[in-house]
Amino acid sequence: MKTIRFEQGSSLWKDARRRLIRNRAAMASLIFLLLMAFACFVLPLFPCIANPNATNLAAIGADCSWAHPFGTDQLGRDLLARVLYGGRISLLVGVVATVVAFVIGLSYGLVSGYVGGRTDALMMRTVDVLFALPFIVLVIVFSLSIETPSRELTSWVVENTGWSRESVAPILGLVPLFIAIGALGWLTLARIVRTQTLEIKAQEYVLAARSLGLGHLRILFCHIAPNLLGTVVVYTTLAVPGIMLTESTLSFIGLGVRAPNSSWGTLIKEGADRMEATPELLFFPALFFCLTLLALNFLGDGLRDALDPKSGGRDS
Amino acid sequence: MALARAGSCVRIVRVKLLPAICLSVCALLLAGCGDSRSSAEKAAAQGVLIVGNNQEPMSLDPHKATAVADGKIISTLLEGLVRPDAQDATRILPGMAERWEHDASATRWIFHLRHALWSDGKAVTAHDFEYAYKRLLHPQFGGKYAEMLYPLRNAEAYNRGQLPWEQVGVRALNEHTLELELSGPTPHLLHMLLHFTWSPVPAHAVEAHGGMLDRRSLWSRAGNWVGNGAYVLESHHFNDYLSVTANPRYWRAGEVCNRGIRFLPIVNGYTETRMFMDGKLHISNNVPPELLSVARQKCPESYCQDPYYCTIFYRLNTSRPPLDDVRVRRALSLAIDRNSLVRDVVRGAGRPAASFTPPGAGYSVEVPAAWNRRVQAEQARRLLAEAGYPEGRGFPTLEIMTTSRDVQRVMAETIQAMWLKELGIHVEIRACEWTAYKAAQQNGEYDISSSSWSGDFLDPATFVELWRSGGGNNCTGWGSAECDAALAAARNCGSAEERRAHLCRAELSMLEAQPVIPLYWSERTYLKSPTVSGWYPLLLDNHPLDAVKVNRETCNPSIK
Amino acid sequence: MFRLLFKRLGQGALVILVLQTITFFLVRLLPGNPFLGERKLPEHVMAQLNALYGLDQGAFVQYLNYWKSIICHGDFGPSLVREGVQVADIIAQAFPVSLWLGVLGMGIAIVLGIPAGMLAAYWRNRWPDALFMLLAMAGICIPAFVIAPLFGLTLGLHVPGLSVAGWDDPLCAVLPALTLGLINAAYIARLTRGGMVEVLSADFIRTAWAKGVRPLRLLFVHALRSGLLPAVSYLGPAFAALITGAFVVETCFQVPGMGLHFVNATTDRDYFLIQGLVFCYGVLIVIANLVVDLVLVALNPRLRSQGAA
Repeated sequence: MKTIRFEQGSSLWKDARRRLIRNRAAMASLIFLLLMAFACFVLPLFPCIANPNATNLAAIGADCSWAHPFGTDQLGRDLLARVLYGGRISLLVGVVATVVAFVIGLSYGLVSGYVGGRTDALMMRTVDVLFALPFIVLVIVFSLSIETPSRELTSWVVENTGWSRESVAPILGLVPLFIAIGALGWLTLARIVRTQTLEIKAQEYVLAARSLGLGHLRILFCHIAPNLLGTVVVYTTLAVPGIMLTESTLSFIGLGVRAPNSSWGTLIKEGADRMEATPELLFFPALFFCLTLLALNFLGDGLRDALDPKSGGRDS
Repeated sequence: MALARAGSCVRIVRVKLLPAICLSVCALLLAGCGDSRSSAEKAAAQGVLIVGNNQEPMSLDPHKATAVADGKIISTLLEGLVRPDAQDATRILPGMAERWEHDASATRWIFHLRHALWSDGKAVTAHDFEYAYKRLLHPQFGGKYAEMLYPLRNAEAYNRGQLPWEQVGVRALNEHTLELELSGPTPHLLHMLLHFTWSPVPAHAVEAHGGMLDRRSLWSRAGNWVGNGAYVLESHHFNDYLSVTANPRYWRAGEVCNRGIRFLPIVNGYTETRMFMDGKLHISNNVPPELLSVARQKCPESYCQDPYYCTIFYRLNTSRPPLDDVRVRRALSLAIDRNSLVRDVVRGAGRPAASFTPPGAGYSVEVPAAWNRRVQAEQARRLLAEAGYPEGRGFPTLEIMTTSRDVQRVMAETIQAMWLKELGIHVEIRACEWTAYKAAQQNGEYDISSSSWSGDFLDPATFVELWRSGGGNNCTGWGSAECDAALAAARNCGSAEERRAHLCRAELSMLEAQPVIPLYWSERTYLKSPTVSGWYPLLLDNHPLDAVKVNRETCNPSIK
Repeated sequence: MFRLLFKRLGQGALVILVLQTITFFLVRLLPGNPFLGERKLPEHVMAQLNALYGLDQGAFVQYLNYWKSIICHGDFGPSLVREGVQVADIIAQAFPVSLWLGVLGMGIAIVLGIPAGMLAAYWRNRWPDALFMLLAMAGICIPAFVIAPLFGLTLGLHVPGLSVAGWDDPLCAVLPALTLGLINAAYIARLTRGGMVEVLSADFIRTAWAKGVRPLRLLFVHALRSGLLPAVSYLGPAFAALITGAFVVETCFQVPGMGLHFVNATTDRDYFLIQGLVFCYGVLIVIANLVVDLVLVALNPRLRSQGAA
């Protein structure tokens, strides 16, 4: 039966989609992530969500109520609104920086592993050097040298689009972060991809493909890359939390998102500082953060299973 | 099916492993239970006091040290001409100097030294003091705190390499007599002498390790250390602890309470507070505002809150429009609700500042305006409108620059919201990493800078002198002839009473122009074990630790 | 094998040279300088200090002098912020602490992570898999600065023998090592599971099944070798990072290790200290990667014929 479908032109990706849809955990995660994205990006546009930066010193540390479903923080700001707006920034940082890291890391690792020899050695030593560069020094240099251009970019956007400064600044202010985190995040991925490529390159079907006279690009992208995707997707689902965590670690040393705006990372950091006094300030942002990462994980696993050409037979 | 079978086999292996792991963990824990006393109790039994000291000291050499944390350690290791009293900040006790006299204008002082010894047995002489002052001021030494000695006649010129040392007002008349000649009347000299920059250094020890001008000299490291204080340096482990032990050659060795002190360089206030609750130290350095309620509730008998000679304020860069307009500056200041800042941001650990210099040393500035919020806000709006920004329209986006410390950030957020609400202006917050912050402030590359200033000695001059035009720490670009004239008058005034009046005049003229927005006078919040005695609130926080005693018998301060 | 070793060591030396060069110029791009105090220094004093430490010369001359003092005297220079202390002294004190903590943490991570990952792969898509992976995800997504105080407040404050923070007792290492261990165990478990799943569905394993190889032997002898590849490539850099980059855990637990110096040296612009720490980190990275490559070759004989370079 499978053979018949294959002849009808069922591609790897079509099969993958079918398998993904059958995976309940992955689909539930996907729906959850879409809901989360909706909550963070669309919901705050409605007036039922308070202004996340409006302080109310009369309502500091208020308990949960209809007006403040999650209570208020140390300056009387609505925690729900802060968590949702924080999610915007965290999701953006996570997705954009991961995509940057994914693209660079995958192609770099593939080329390095496939070409081998001197090129491989050179490319891997470059990775070693970049790896060994102290992250904190790099980030400080990045954020300080990109600060002025990003401020100018903000002013330019404000003048030319008529958007209010308050709505544009938090996103554009993050550009240094995207660049710094994305530019450093691909190193591990490149190493992993390269190791796997070496492994796959030595396998019989690649040898076979080569002896059939297929071109390098074709072998690389049609035969090696798809077999790597499983590992890469798993690593990427690991990388998103890693990147979102990096952002929060930066806030631990005082770099990162600009006050009064928040990300989940900064909210969790602030909550952790106050955990003895007001545990709810830690609980809600951490809950959102963890649930999102868990969902990303299940989705990643689902994708992994779906993309694994060998898993099809066993499921059915 | 097959997989399930395999699973059961693996489970067996795991079951065998688990007890082994549990056993080893238990064994580890048991090993730790041998002595169930906390670190603080063990130390107390040996007569050792453990103190939280905020940060890793920069140096113990009084001519290279600059930080407050350095000063606290140095004050136990070296003794200057005079020493502070444990209870009364205004009282000065004789130290290396047995007695002293000065002329009518308080310009020329003679100190008669006692017969005291360095910890290696050599005598402390007036030449050690002269050597020390020469070293700090030497134009090839690069003493960062050389400014502290500038009240000495011609000291600044010598430091700049313009005059020879012979012309500086320091003279060892003989082994035990030191003469200090100042550039003007200085009735408050004794308070200045308490600062560590005025302590002597053992000339023979410094010479033995590379000489006077060697900045890389290792004389101040453990093992080489020679001092004349109540304690000598025992060992120093970076970021771990620094320990000092009683100096048997100290002239009051019999009165020193503890056998030793251990200083812990804990930067993170949350960690420190939690360590105190775990019985790791006797006196902590700082409880952050977020933990105040917990600290007050969990260890009420340990919680302390003392006034501190320190002002928290915002510098305004008066060379940048619109902050060059005094109406704008006053509007910004009037729109801030200081009571709320103290109550909500620092959780009561401070007092709203009506003027710049904290009250103390018989000095306080009377500010006429009553603190009525509504009237003030009204006035602020009016001033802003007069300056050309009615309801904040057209006001450019300014930036508040803060360090990355949490308190400063939260305060900036609060003030940002207050300005938006009262004046309709939006400012942004730039949290800088520490050195970038210092660089930007000192180069005047900021709009509004979140700052603090703590006094070096108990005299209003340490605060008011800041606002001399072109002064190194002014950093606001502001200056006025009136303020400078009042400061100059204060410097040439022998009577303490009149001097304070001049300083007050200077401060009032500064406040009028408002190059800074005073926010609050901070108070120190820390934890002190009930087993500690002899520690009293001191405005400068310069506790003579030889008088602080840790009781060896009393119960466990830990809540474990 | 020896040829490979020497070649890699040679490359490693090159990596360190490049690394030092980049860092040297990078740290000098940062705003401010090591002598900036809380109070402004008079300009003539700043000039005196720069002259004393040779920072008034051109950057390239400084760079040459730096290498000269390392090669001729084995001297990494003085700390510019903690004056009167040698960089080598600081590293000599901090390195053993970090190494000990890193070994403990990595040990915990391997002991917990690899079995968990293997078992999860074995029981793929069943409840132990879900449980282990949930725990692993929790380990990954809860930041260290949350786990550390949580451990401190729960275990440290209430279990006798353990402490909230500090380094005055051998047992003080337990909680920081556990924090580091759990975080890394989570990553290792995930990577091991991924690798094992891949291998368990490979043809040679199916053949082994069919031939009736016992499950344990299958898991540990046949599958583990290639199943560990992703985790092993992760271990090398992670170990180096653990030793020098654990500053969050070190701050929260007040551990006098390298990570704290790294952050402080950078924020204080202690040029020579940063340089020394980066040197140390570079050496570690090179060694760790070398070990990883050797292990990879040992695990996978096919790499041997490829030269593994």
